[in-house]
Amino acid sequence: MTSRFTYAPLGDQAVLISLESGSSQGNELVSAGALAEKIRGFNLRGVTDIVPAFSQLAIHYNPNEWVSSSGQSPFERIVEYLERKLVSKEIVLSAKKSQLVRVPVCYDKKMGLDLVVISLTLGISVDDVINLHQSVVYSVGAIGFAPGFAYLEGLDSVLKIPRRDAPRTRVPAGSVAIGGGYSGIYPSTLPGGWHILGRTRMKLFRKQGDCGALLSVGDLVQFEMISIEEYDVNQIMETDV
Amino acid sequence: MSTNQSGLIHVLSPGLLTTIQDRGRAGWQNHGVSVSGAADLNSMTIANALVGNKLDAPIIEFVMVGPDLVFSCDCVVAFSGANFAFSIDGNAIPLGRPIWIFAGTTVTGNRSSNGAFGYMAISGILDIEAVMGSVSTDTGSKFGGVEGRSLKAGDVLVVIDSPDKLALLKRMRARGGQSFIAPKWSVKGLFSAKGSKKDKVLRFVPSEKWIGLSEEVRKTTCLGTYRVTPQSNRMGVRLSGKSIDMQKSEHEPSVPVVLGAIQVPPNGQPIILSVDRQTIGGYPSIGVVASVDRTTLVQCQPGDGLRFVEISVNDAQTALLQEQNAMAELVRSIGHRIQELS
Repeated sequence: MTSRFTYAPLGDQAVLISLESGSSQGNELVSAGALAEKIRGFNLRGVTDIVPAFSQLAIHYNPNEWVSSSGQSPFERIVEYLERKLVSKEIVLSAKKSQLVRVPVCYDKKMGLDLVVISLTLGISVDDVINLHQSVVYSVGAIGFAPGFAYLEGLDSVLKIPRRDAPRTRVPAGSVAIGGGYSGIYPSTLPGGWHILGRTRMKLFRKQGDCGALLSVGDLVQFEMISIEEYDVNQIMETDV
Repeated sequence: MSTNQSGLIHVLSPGLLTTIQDRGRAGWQNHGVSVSGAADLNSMTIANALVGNKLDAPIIEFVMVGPDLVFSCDCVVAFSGANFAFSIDGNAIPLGRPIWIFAGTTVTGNRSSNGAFGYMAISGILDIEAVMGSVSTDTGSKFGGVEGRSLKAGDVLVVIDSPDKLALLKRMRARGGQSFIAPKWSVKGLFSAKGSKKDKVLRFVPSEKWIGLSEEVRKTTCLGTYRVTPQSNRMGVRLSGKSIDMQKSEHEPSVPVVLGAIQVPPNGQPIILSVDRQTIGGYPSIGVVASVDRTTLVQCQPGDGLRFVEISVNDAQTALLQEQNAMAELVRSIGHRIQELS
Protein backbone atom coordinates (compact mmCIF):
# COMPACT_ATOMS: atom_id res chain seq x y z
CA MET A 1 0.00 0.00 0.00
CA THR A 2 1.38 3.41 -0.91
CA SER A 3 1.69 6.07 1.72
CA ARG A 4 -1.34 8.33 1.57
CA PHE A 5 -0.20 10.79 4.17
CA THR A 6 2.91 12.87 4.68
CA TYR A 7 4.17 13.81 8.12
CA ALA A 8 6.10 16.96 9.00
CA PRO A 9 7.08 18.67 12.25
CA LEU A 10 4.93 21.69 13.10
CA GLY A 11 7.41 22.97 15.63
CA ASP A 12 8.56 20.69 18.45
CA GLN A 13 5.12 20.00 19.96
CA ALA A 14 2.94 19.15 16.94
CA VAL A 15 2.88 16.91 13.88
CA LEU A 16 1.29 18.12 10.65
CA ILE A 17 -0.29 15.37 8.54
CA SER A 18 -1.07 16.28 4.93
CA LEU A 19 -3.44 14.19 2.86
CA GLU A 20 -2.30 13.82 -0.69
CA SER A 21 -4.99 15.14 -2.99
CA GLY A 22 -7.49 12.41 -3.71
CA SER A 23 -6.23 10.24 -0.86
CA SER A 24 -8.46 7.23 -0.80
CA GLN A 25 -8.86 3.87 0.78
CA GLY A 26 -10.92 1.51 -1.34
CA ASN A 27 -13.66 3.67 -2.73
CA GLU A 28 -13.81 5.99 0.23
CA LEU A 29 -12.30 9.42 -0.11
CA VAL A 30 -10.32 10.17 3.02
CA SER A 31 -11.16 13.50 4.61
CA ALA A 32 -9.12 15.28 7.27
CA GLY A 33 -12.21 15.23 9.53
CA ALA A 34 -12.57 11.44 9.28
CA LEU A 35 -8.84 10.97 9.82
CA ALA A 36 -9.00 13.21 12.91
CA GLU A 37 -11.83 11.07 14.34
CA LYS A 38 -9.83 7.93 13.66
CA ILE A 39 -6.72 9.28 15.39
CA ARG A 40 -8.82 10.54 18.31
CA GLY A 41 -9.89 6.92 18.78
CA PHE A 42 -6.25 5.86 19.29
CA ASN A 43 -6.23 7.80 22.60
CA LEU A 44 -2.59 8.74 22.04
CA ARG A 45 -0.83 9.63 25.27
CA GLY A 46 0.18 13.25 25.73
CA VAL A 47 -2.00 14.43 22.85
CA THR A 48 -4.03 17.52 23.75
CA ASP A 49 -5.56 18.59 20.43
CA ILE A 50 -6.28 17.09 17.00
CA VAL A 51 -7.14 19.90 14.59
CA PRO A 52 -8.25 19.12 11.03
CA ALA A 53 -8.44 21.85 8.38
CA PHE A 54 -9.17 21.09 4.72
CA SER A 55 -6.54 18.56 3.58
CA GLN A 56 -4.31 18.79 6.66
CA LEU A 57 -4.45 18.08 10.35
CA ALA A 58 -2.29 18.95 13.33
CA ILE A 59 -1.70 16.68 16.31
CA HIS A 60 -0.56 18.66 19.35
CA TYR A 61 1.48 16.45 21.69
CA ASN A 62 3.73 16.66 24.71
CA PRO A 63 7.21 15.44 23.63
CA ASN A 64 7.88 14.33 27.21
CA GLU A 65 5.34 11.51 26.73
CA TRP A 66 7.15 10.22 23.62
CA VAL A 67 10.72 9.94 24.90
CA SER A 68 12.41 6.71 23.86
CA SER A 69 15.53 4.97 25.08
CA SER A 70 16.57 4.01 21.56
CA GLY A 71 17.82 7.46 20.55
CA GLN A 72 14.70 8.24 18.54
CA SER A 73 13.34 11.75 19.04
CA PRO A 74 9.76 12.15 20.32
CA PHE A 75 8.80 13.44 16.84
CA GLU A 76 10.26 10.38 15.11
CA ARG A 77 8.60 8.10 17.63
CA ILE A 78 5.07 9.49 17.31
CA VAL A 79 5.32 9.57 13.50
CA GLU A 80 6.48 5.96 13.42
CA TYR A 81 3.57 5.02 15.66
CA LEU A 82 1.05 6.90 13.49
CA GLU A 83 2.43 5.41 10.26
CA ARG A 84 2.10 1.93 11.66
CA LYS A 85 -1.46 2.49 12.94
CA LEU A 86 -2.67 4.22 9.78
CA VAL A 87 -1.34 1.68 7.30
CA SER A 88 -2.86 -1.41 8.90
CA LYS A 89 -5.73 -2.90 6.99
CA GLU A 90 -8.46 -2.86 9.62
CA ILE A 91 -8.68 0.90 9.45
CA VAL A 92 -11.84 2.03 7.78
CA LEU A 93 -11.86 5.75 7.84
CA SER A 94 -15.51 6.11 6.95
CA ALA A 95 -16.50 4.68 10.33
CA LYS A 96 -18.03 7.97 11.37
CA LYS A 97 -21.02 9.02 9.29
CA SER A 98 -21.21 12.71 8.55
CA GLN A 99 -24.15 14.40 10.20
CA LEU A 100 -26.38 16.57 8.01
CA VAL A 101 -27.31 19.80 9.74
CA ARG A 102 -30.21 21.83 8.34
CA VAL A 103 -29.79 25.52 9.02
CA PRO A 104 -32.88 27.74 8.71
CA VAL A 105 -31.91 31.07 7.14
CA CYS A 106 -33.92 34.24 6.74
CA TYR A 107 -32.79 35.88 3.48
CA ASP A 108 -34.83 39.04 4.10
CA LYS A 109 -32.96 42.15 2.96
CA LYS A 110 -32.99 43.44 6.54
CA MET A 111 -30.73 40.48 7.43
CA GLY A 112 -29.02 39.91 4.10
CA LEU A 113 -27.21 43.23 4.14
CA ASP A 114 -25.23 42.53 0.95
CA LEU A 115 -27.89 40.73 -1.15
CA VAL A 116 -28.64 43.72 -3.36
CA VAL A 117 -25.00 44.66 -3.90
CA ILE A 118 -24.12 41.08 -4.89
CA SER A 119 -27.06 40.83 -7.26
CA LEU A 120 -25.95 44.07 -8.93
CA THR A 121 -22.30 42.98 -9.06
CA LEU A 122 -23.16 39.62 -10.63
CA GLY A 123 -25.99 40.93 -12.82
CA ILE A 124 -28.45 38.34 -11.52
CA SER A 125 -31.59 38.74 -9.43
CA VAL A 126 -31.61 38.61 -5.62
CA ASP A 127 -33.72 35.44 -5.88
CA ASP A 128 -31.04 33.85 -8.06
CA VAL A 129 -28.37 34.70 -5.48
CA ILE A 130 -30.48 33.07 -2.76
CA ASN A 131 -31.24 30.01 -4.89
CA LEU A 132 -27.60 29.51 -5.82
CA HIS A 133 -26.65 29.76 -2.16
CA GLN A 134 -29.23 27.35 -0.74
CA SER A 135 -29.39 24.78 -3.54
CA VAL A 136 -26.19 22.96 -2.58
CA VAL A 137 -25.13 20.75 0.31
CA TYR A 138 -21.98 22.13 1.89
CA SER A 139 -19.34 20.25 3.80
CA VAL A 140 -17.40 21.68 6.75
CA GLY A 141 -13.77 22.05 5.61
CA ALA A 142 -12.39 23.70 8.73
CA ILE A 143 -13.39 25.31 12.03
CA GLY A 144 -11.49 28.41 13.01
CA PHE A 145 -11.19 32.20 12.90
CA ALA A 146 -13.53 32.27 15.92
CA PRO A 147 -15.07 29.62 18.20
CA GLY A 148 -17.56 27.60 16.14
CA PHE A 149 -16.96 29.40 12.83
CA ALA A 150 -17.20 26.81 10.04
CA TYR A 151 -15.65 27.21 6.59
CA LEU A 152 -18.22 25.58 4.29
CA GLU A 153 -16.99 24.10 1.04
CA GLY A 154 -19.17 23.59 -2.03
CA LEU A 155 -20.11 27.19 -2.86
CA ASP A 156 -21.46 27.63 -6.39
CA SER A 157 -18.67 29.05 -8.57
CA VAL A 158 -20.86 32.00 -9.60
CA LEU A 159 -20.80 33.15 -5.95
CA LYS A 160 -17.02 32.92 -5.60
CA ILE A 161 -16.34 36.64 -5.46
CA PRO A 162 -13.65 38.66 -3.65
CA ARG A 163 -14.29 39.77 -0.07
CA ARG A 164 -15.62 43.24 0.70
CA ASP A 165 -13.07 46.02 0.18
CA ALA A 166 -13.79 47.38 3.64
CA PRO A 167 -14.44 44.75 6.32
CA ARG A 168 -17.28 45.48 8.76
CA THR A 169 -16.23 46.05 12.35
CA ARG A 170 -19.40 44.27 13.55
CA VAL A 171 -21.06 41.45 11.64
CA PRO A 172 -24.21 40.46 13.60
CA ALA A 173 -24.23 37.03 15.28
CA GLY A 174 -25.95 34.41 13.11
CA SER A 175 -25.10 36.17 9.83
CA VAL A 176 -24.84 33.73 6.93
CA ALA A 177 -22.18 34.96 4.54
CA ILE A 178 -19.94 34.16 1.59
CA GLY A 179 -16.27 35.05 1.13
CA GLY A 180 -12.96 33.63 -0.06
CA GLY A 181 -14.79 30.92 -2.01
CA TYR A 182 -16.59 29.60 1.08
CA SER A 183 -19.87 30.09 2.86
CA GLY A 184 -19.92 30.54 6.61
CA ILE A 185 -22.04 31.48 9.62
CA TYR A 186 -20.84 34.01 12.20
CA PRO A 187 -21.41 32.31 15.61
CA SER A 188 -21.13 35.62 17.47
CA THR A 189 -20.87 39.30 16.61
CA LEU A 190 -17.44 39.69 15.06
CA PRO A 191 -15.52 41.89 12.64
CA GLY A 192 -15.60 40.38 9.15
CA GLY A 193 -15.13 41.00 5.45
CA TRP A 194 -17.54 38.46 4.01
CA HIS A 195 -20.75 39.35 2.15
CA ILE A 196 -23.86 38.84 4.28
CA LEU A 197 -26.77 37.01 2.61
CA GLY A 198 -29.05 36.26 5.56
CA ARG A 199 -29.26 35.31 9.22
CA THR A 200 -30.04 32.27 11.32
CA ARG A 201 -31.10 31.86 14.95
CA MET A 202 -29.27 28.58 15.22
CA LYS A 203 -26.63 28.58 17.96
CA LEU A 204 -23.31 27.59 16.37
CA PHE A 205 -21.31 27.71 19.59
CA ARG A 206 -22.19 27.30 23.25
CA LYS A 207 -19.67 27.79 26.04
CA GLN A 208 -22.36 26.98 28.63
CA GLY A 209 -22.07 23.40 29.77
CA ASP A 210 -18.87 23.15 27.75
CA CYS A 211 -20.81 22.19 24.60
CA GLY A 212 -18.48 23.89 22.15
CA ALA A 213 -19.09 24.03 18.41
CA LEU A 214 -22.27 22.65 16.83
CA LEU A 215 -20.43 21.65 13.66
CA SER A 216 -17.28 19.63 13.20
CA VAL A 217 -15.05 19.14 10.18
CA GLY A 218 -16.65 16.71 7.73
CA ASP A 219 -20.26 17.54 8.69
CA LEU A 220 -22.73 18.43 5.92
CA VAL A 221 -24.77 21.63 5.99
CA GLN A 222 -27.89 22.58 4.07
CA PHE A 223 -29.45 26.04 4.25
CA GLU A 224 -33.25 26.24 4.26
CA MET A 225 -35.01 29.50 3.53
CA ILE A 226 -37.48 30.75 6.13
CA SER A 227 -39.62 33.87 6.12
CA ILE A 228 -39.05 36.78 8.46
CA GLU A 229 -42.18 35.68 10.37
CA GLU A 230 -40.73 32.21 10.93
CA TYR A 231 -37.42 33.81 11.93
CA ASP A 232 -39.26 35.83 14.59
CA VAL A 233 -41.05 32.71 15.83
CA ASN A 234 -37.64 31.04 16.17
CA GLN A 235 -36.61 33.91 18.39
CA ILE A 236 -39.46 33.20 20.79
CA MET A 237 -38.50 29.53 20.84
CA GLU A 238 -34.87 30.39 21.56
CA THR A 239 -35.83 32.53 24.56
CA ASP A 240 -38.09 29.77 25.84
CA VAL A 241 -35.25 27.27 25.96
CA MET B 1 -13.98 19.72 56.86
CA SER B 2 -14.00 23.32 58.01
CA THR B 3 -15.50 26.08 55.93
CA ASN B 4 -12.83 27.87 53.96
CA GLN B 5 -12.26 31.53 54.72
CA SER B 6 -11.88 33.92 51.88
CA GLY B 7 -10.37 37.35 51.37
CA LEU B 8 -10.73 40.08 48.81
CA ILE B 9 -8.32 41.88 46.52
CA HIS B 10 -9.55 45.21 45.19
CA VAL B 11 -8.28 46.54 41.87
CA LEU B 12 -7.41 50.22 42.37
CA SER B 13 -5.77 50.68 38.99
CA PRO B 14 -5.65 47.83 36.46
CA GLY B 15 -2.23 48.39 34.86
CA LEU B 16 -2.07 47.23 31.25
CA LEU B 17 -3.91 44.17 29.89
CA THR B 18 -4.05 42.61 33.33
CA THR B 19 -5.84 39.24 33.09
CA ILE B 20 -6.37 35.99 34.96
CA GLN B 21 -4.53 33.09 33.30
CA ASP B 22 -3.61 29.46 33.91
CA ARG B 23 -1.99 26.87 31.62
CA GLY B 24 -4.65 27.53 28.97
CA ARG B 25 -7.63 25.95 27.30
CA ALA B 26 -6.07 23.00 25.45
CA GLY B 27 -8.41 20.38 23.99
CA TRP B 28 -10.85 22.74 22.27
CA GLN B 29 -8.91 23.81 19.20
CA ASN B 30 -11.05 21.66 16.88
CA HIS B 31 -13.97 23.84 18.06
CA GLY B 32 -12.07 26.92 16.96
CA VAL B 33 -11.23 27.89 20.55
CA SER B 34 -7.84 29.50 21.19
CA VAL B 35 -5.58 27.94 23.82
CA SER B 36 -4.66 31.23 25.58
CA GLY B 37 -3.03 30.80 29.01
CA ALA B 38 -0.03 32.51 30.58
CA ALA B 39 2.33 33.85 27.90
CA ASP B 40 5.42 32.99 29.97
CA LEU B 41 4.53 29.58 31.40
CA ASN B 42 7.83 29.14 33.24
CA SER B 43 7.38 32.37 35.16
CA MET B 44 3.81 31.34 36.06
CA THR B 45 5.11 28.00 37.34
CA ILE B 46 7.82 29.63 39.48
CA ALA B 47 5.43 32.18 41.02
CA ASN B 48 2.91 29.47 41.92
CA ALA B 49 5.65 27.28 43.40
CA LEU B 50 6.86 30.21 45.55
CA VAL B 51 3.47 30.54 47.27
CA GLY B 52 2.92 26.80 47.64
CA ASN B 53 0.12 26.65 45.06
CA LYS B 54 -0.51 24.01 42.44
CA LEU B 55 1.79 24.93 39.56
CA ASP B 56 -1.11 25.62 37.18
CA ALA B 57 -3.26 27.56 39.68
CA PRO B 58 -4.94 30.73 38.35
CA ILE B 59 -2.54 33.67 38.37
CA ILE B 60 -2.61 37.40 37.59
CA GLU B 61 -0.74 38.38 34.41
CA PHE B 62 0.08 41.96 33.43
CA VAL B 63 1.85 43.55 30.47
CA MET B 64 4.38 46.43 30.60
CA VAL B 65 2.54 48.20 33.48
CA GLY B 66 1.55 46.43 36.71
CA PRO B 67 -1.73 46.96 38.62
CA ASP B 68 -2.35 48.72 41.96
CA LEU B 69 -4.11 46.33 44.36
CA VAL B 70 -5.55 46.58 47.87
CA PHE B 71 -5.51 43.41 49.99
CA SER B 72 -8.32 42.95 52.50
CA CYS B 73 -6.69 39.94 54.15
CA ASP B 74 -3.22 38.68 54.95
CA CYS B 75 -1.85 37.04 51.80
CA VAL B 76 1.34 35.44 50.61
CA VAL B 77 2.13 36.51 47.06
CA ALA B 78 5.09 36.14 44.65
CA PHE B 79 6.11 38.15 41.61
CA SER B 80 7.94 36.68 38.64
CA GLY B 81 8.56 37.27 34.95
CA ALA B 82 9.57 40.69 33.65
CA ASN B 83 11.29 43.27 35.90
CA PHE B 84 8.28 45.10 37.30
CA ALA B 85 8.82 47.60 40.11
CA PHE B 86 6.11 46.83 42.68
CA SER B 87 6.17 48.60 46.02
CA ILE B 88 4.38 48.97 49.35
CA ASP B 89 4.55 52.39 51.06
CA GLY B 90 7.45 53.27 48.76
CA ASN B 91 9.43 50.14 49.68
CA ALA B 92 10.31 48.06 46.63
CA ILE B 93 9.01 44.49 46.71
CA PRO B 94 11.65 41.98 45.63
CA LEU B 95 10.81 39.56 42.81
CA GLY B 96 11.11 35.80 42.96
CA ARG B 97 10.30 35.11 46.62
CA PRO B 98 7.23 34.66 48.82
CA ILE B 99 6.00 37.97 50.28
CA TRP B 100 3.66 38.20 53.23
CA ILE B 101 1.34 41.15 52.66
CA PHE B 102 -0.77 42.42 55.57
CA ALA B 103 -4.49 43.04 55.42
CA GLY B 104 -5.24 46.62 54.38
CA THR B 105 -2.03 47.05 52.39
CA THR B 106 -1.91 48.71 48.97
CA VAL B 107 0.54 47.23 46.48
CA THR B 108 1.56 49.70 43.80
CA GLY B 109 2.55 48.54 40.34
CA ASN B 110 4.82 50.33 37.92
CA ARG B 111 6.44 49.90 34.52
CA SER B 112 8.61 46.97 33.57
CA SER B 113 12.24 47.96 33.05
CA ASN B 114 12.95 44.81 31.06
CA GLY B 115 10.59 42.22 29.62
CA ALA B 116 6.87 42.46 28.87
CA PHE B 117 4.91 39.91 30.94
CA GLY B 118 4.77 39.84 34.72
CA TYR B 119 2.98 37.48 37.11
CA MET B 120 1.62 37.64 40.61
CA ALA B 121 0.70 34.39 42.29
CA ILE B 122 -1.47 34.53 45.42
CA SER B 123 -1.37 31.72 47.94
CA GLY B 124 -4.80 30.08 48.05
CA ILE B 125 -7.33 29.73 45.28
CA LEU B 126 -8.44 32.62 43.06
CA ASP B 127 -12.19 32.10 42.81
CA ILE B 128 -12.78 32.23 39.06
CA GLU B 129 -15.22 30.06 37.12
CA ALA B 130 -13.58 27.71 34.62
CA VAL B 131 -14.88 27.76 31.04
CA MET B 132 -14.09 24.66 29.00
CA GLY B 133 -11.66 23.48 31.65
CA SER B 134 -9.68 26.70 32.09
CA VAL B 135 -9.97 30.09 33.80
CA SER B 136 -7.69 31.72 31.21
CA THR B 137 -9.02 35.00 29.89
CA ASP B 138 -9.61 35.00 26.13
CA THR B 139 -10.37 38.67 25.46
CA GLY B 140 -10.98 37.98 21.76
CA SER B 141 -13.76 35.46 22.36
CA LYS B 142 -14.76 37.19 25.61
CA PHE B 143 -14.70 34.26 27.99
CA GLY B 144 -12.68 33.06 30.98
CA GLY B 145 -11.23 35.22 33.75
CA VAL B 146 -13.41 38.13 34.86
CA GLU B 147 -16.20 38.44 32.27
CA GLY B 148 -13.78 37.53 29.49
CA ARG B 149 -11.97 40.87 29.72
CA SER B 150 -8.90 42.43 31.23
CA LEU B 151 -9.31 43.78 34.77
CA LYS B 152 -10.51 47.30 35.40
CA ALA B 153 -10.58 49.64 38.38
CA GLY B 154 -13.24 48.57 40.87
CA ASP B 155 -12.98 44.84 40.16
CA VAL B 156 -12.82 42.63 43.23
CA LEU B 157 -11.08 39.25 43.23
CA VAL B 158 -11.95 36.60 45.80
CA VAL B 159 -9.16 34.42 47.20
CA ILE B 160 -10.21 31.28 49.04
CA ASP B 161 -7.81 30.11 51.75
CA SER B 162 -6.09 26.79 51.22
CA PRO B 163 -4.39 24.63 53.88
CA ASP B 164 -1.09 25.39 52.15
CA LYS B 165 -1.63 29.12 52.54
CA LEU B 166 -2.44 28.83 56.23
CA ALA B 167 0.63 26.68 56.82
CA LEU B 168 2.76 29.17 54.92
CA LEU B 169 1.44 32.10 56.96
CA LYS B 170 2.10 30.19 60.16
CA ARG B 171 5.72 29.56 59.20
CA MET B 172 6.33 33.15 58.11
CA ARG B 173 4.66 34.60 61.21
CA ALA B 174 7.77 34.10 63.30
CA ARG B 175 9.44 37.10 61.65
CA GLY B 176 9.03 40.71 62.64
CA GLY B 177 8.00 42.99 59.87
CA GLN B 178 7.64 46.46 58.48
CA SER B 179 5.69 46.87 55.25
CA PHE B 180 5.84 43.23 54.35
CA ILE B 181 7.77 40.09 55.23
CA ALA B 182 10.07 38.30 52.81
CA PRO B 183 12.90 35.79 53.09
CA LYS B 184 16.41 36.86 52.09
CA TRP B 185 16.76 34.28 49.33
CA SER B 186 15.15 34.61 45.91
CA VAL B 187 14.72 32.63 42.74
CA LYS B 188 16.34 34.24 39.76
CA GLY B 189 13.94 34.20 36.86
CA LEU B 190 14.88 32.21 33.80
CA PHE B 191 14.36 35.49 32.06
CA SER B 192 17.20 37.83 32.94
CA ALA B 193 18.29 41.30 31.98
CA LYS B 194 21.45 40.21 30.21
CA GLY B 195 22.14 41.29 26.65
CA SER B 196 19.14 43.56 26.37
CA LYS B 197 20.93 45.74 23.82
CA LYS B 198 21.97 42.79 21.69
CA ASP B 199 19.67 40.96 19.31
CA LYS B 200 17.90 38.02 20.89
CA VAL B 201 18.10 34.70 19.08
CA LEU B 202 14.97 32.75 18.16
CA ARG B 203 15.67 29.19 17.05
CA PHE B 204 12.98 27.86 14.74
CA VAL B 205 12.01 24.48 13.32
CA PRO B 206 11.71 25.09 9.55
CA SER B 207 8.55 24.34 7.57
CA GLU B 208 8.37 22.69 4.15
CA LYS B 209 7.74 26.17 2.72
CA TRP B 210 11.02 27.44 4.15
CA ILE B 211 12.94 24.53 2.72
CA GLY B 212 11.39 25.34 -0.67
CA LEU B 213 12.60 28.96 -0.64
CA SER B 214 15.75 29.98 -2.53
CA GLU B 215 19.01 29.88 -0.61
CA GLU B 216 19.34 33.62 -1.06
CA VAL B 217 16.00 34.36 0.61
CA ARG B 218 16.82 32.02 3.49
CA LYS B 219 20.25 33.59 3.93
CA THR B 220 19.03 37.20 3.98
CA THR B 221 16.26 36.27 6.43
CA CYS B 222 18.70 34.66 8.88
CA LEU B 223 21.23 37.48 8.58
CA GLY B 224 18.72 40.24 9.21
CA THR B 225 17.59 41.83 12.45
CA TYR B 226 13.83 41.97 13.02
CA ARG B 227 12.44 44.55 15.42
CA VAL B 228 9.39 43.96 17.60
CA THR B 229 6.70 46.55 16.76
CA PRO B 230 4.28 48.21 19.22
CA GLN B 231 1.36 46.45 17.46
CA SER B 232 2.43 43.20 19.15
CA ASN B 233 0.00 41.65 21.63
CA ARG B 234 -1.08 38.30 23.08
CA MET B 235 -2.25 37.21 19.62
CA GLY B 236 1.03 37.77 17.85
CA VAL B 237 4.47 39.34 18.03
CA ARG B 238 4.72 41.60 14.99
CA LEU B 239 8.13 42.25 13.48
CA SER B 240 9.59 44.68 11.02
CA GLY B 241 12.75 44.06 9.03
CA LYS B 242 13.94 42.61 5.72
CA SER B 243 10.86 41.58 3.77
CA ILE B 244 10.60 37.81 3.28
CA ASP B 245 9.50 36.83 -0.23
CA MET B 246 7.43 33.65 0.13
CA GLN B 247 6.86 33.33 -3.64
CA LYS B 248 3.28 32.56 -2.75
CA SER B 249 1.06 31.32 -5.54
CA GLU B 250 -2.62 32.23 -5.50
CA HIS B 251 -5.10 31.67 -2.71
CA GLU B 252 -4.19 28.87 -0.34
CA PRO B 253 -6.61 27.45 2.21
CA SER B 254 -6.04 27.96 5.94
CA VAL B 255 -3.90 25.41 7.76
CA PRO B 256 -3.67 24.35 11.41
CA VAL B 257 -1.24 26.60 13.31
CA VAL B 258 0.66 26.51 16.61
CA LEU B 259 2.15 28.93 19.13
CA GLY B 260 5.40 30.32 17.72
CA ALA B 261 4.47 29.86 14.04
CA ILE B 262 6.31 32.51 12.02
CA GLN B 263 3.71 33.68 9.52
CA VAL B 264 4.56 35.87 6.56
CA PRO B 265 1.69 38.01 5.21
CA PRO B 266 1.91 39.43 1.64
CA ASN B 267 3.90 42.49 2.86
CA GLY B 268 6.75 40.16 3.89
CA GLN B 269 6.87 41.35 7.53
CA PRO B 270 6.69 38.35 9.88
CA ILE B 271 4.07 37.87 12.60
CA ILE B 272 4.92 35.24 15.23
CA LEU B 273 1.77 33.69 16.67
CA SER B 274 1.46 33.97 20.45
CA VAL B 275 -0.84 32.54 23.14
CA ASP B 276 -4.16 34.02 21.96
CA ARG B 277 -3.50 32.88 18.36
CA GLN B 278 -6.33 31.40 16.35
CA THR B 279 -6.41 27.66 15.70
CA ILE B 280 -5.95 27.86 11.94
CA GLY B 281 -4.29 30.51 9.78
CA GLY B 282 -4.12 31.58 6.17
CA TYR B 283 -0.61 33.05 5.86
CA PRO B 284 2.31 30.85 4.80
CA SER B 285 4.78 30.09 7.59
CA ILE B 286 8.57 29.69 7.47
CA GLY B 287 8.58 27.56 10.62
CA VAL B 288 7.87 27.48 14.33
CA VAL B 289 9.93 29.02 17.16
CA ALA B 290 11.40 26.30 19.40
CA SER B 291 9.46 25.93 22.67
CA VAL B 292 12.63 26.64 24.69
CA ASP B 293 12.67 30.13 23.15
CA ARG B 294 9.04 30.86 24.07
CA THR B 295 10.08 32.99 27.06
CA THR B 296 12.50 35.00 24.90
CA LEU B 297 9.76 35.52 22.32
CA VAL B 298 6.94 36.64 24.59
CA GLN B 299 9.14 38.78 26.86
CA CYS B 300 10.27 41.02 24.00
CA GLN B 301 9.43 44.70 24.35
CA PRO B 302 8.67 46.88 21.33
CA GLY B 303 11.96 47.89 19.72
CA ASP B 304 13.85 44.75 20.78
CA GLY B 305 15.86 43.08 18.00
CA LEU B 306 15.47 39.42 17.04
CA ARG B 307 17.40 37.05 14.82
CA PHE B 308 16.29 33.73 13.36
CA VAL B 309 18.44 30.61 13.54
CA GLU B 310 17.38 27.20 12.20
CA ILE B 311 17.19 24.24 14.57
CA SER B 312 16.17 20.65 13.82
CA VAL B 313 13.05 19.26 15.47
CA ASN B 314 15.20 16.67 17.24
CA ASP B 315 17.52 19.28 18.75
CA ALA B 316 14.57 21.49 19.71
CA GLN B 317 12.95 18.58 21.56
CA THR B 318 16.20 17.64 23.32
CA ALA B 319 16.53 21.25 24.52
CA LEU B 320 12.88 21.32 25.62
CA LEU B 321 13.21 18.12 27.66
CA GLN B 322 16.33 19.52 29.34
CA GLU B 323 14.46 22.71 30.19
CA GLN B 324 11.51 20.73 31.60
CA ASN B 325 13.90 18.75 33.81
CA ALA B 326 15.58 21.95 35.00
CA MET B 327 12.18 23.46 35.81
CA ALA B 328 11.12 20.35 37.75
CA GLU B 329 14.38 20.56 39.73
CA LEU B 330 13.83 24.27 40.43
CA VAL B 331 10.24 23.65 41.57
CA ARG B 332 11.47 20.89 43.93
CA SER B 333 14.07 23.17 45.48
CA ILE B 334 11.54 25.99 45.90
CA GLY B 335 9.28 23.47 47.64
CA HIS B 336 12.04 22.67 50.13
CA ARG B 337 12.82 26.34 50.70
CA ILE B 338 9.25 27.31 51.55
CA GLN B 339 8.94 24.31 53.90
CA GLU B 340 11.94 25.64 55.81
CA LEU B 341 10.62 29.21 56.17
CA SER B 342 10.44 30.50 59.71
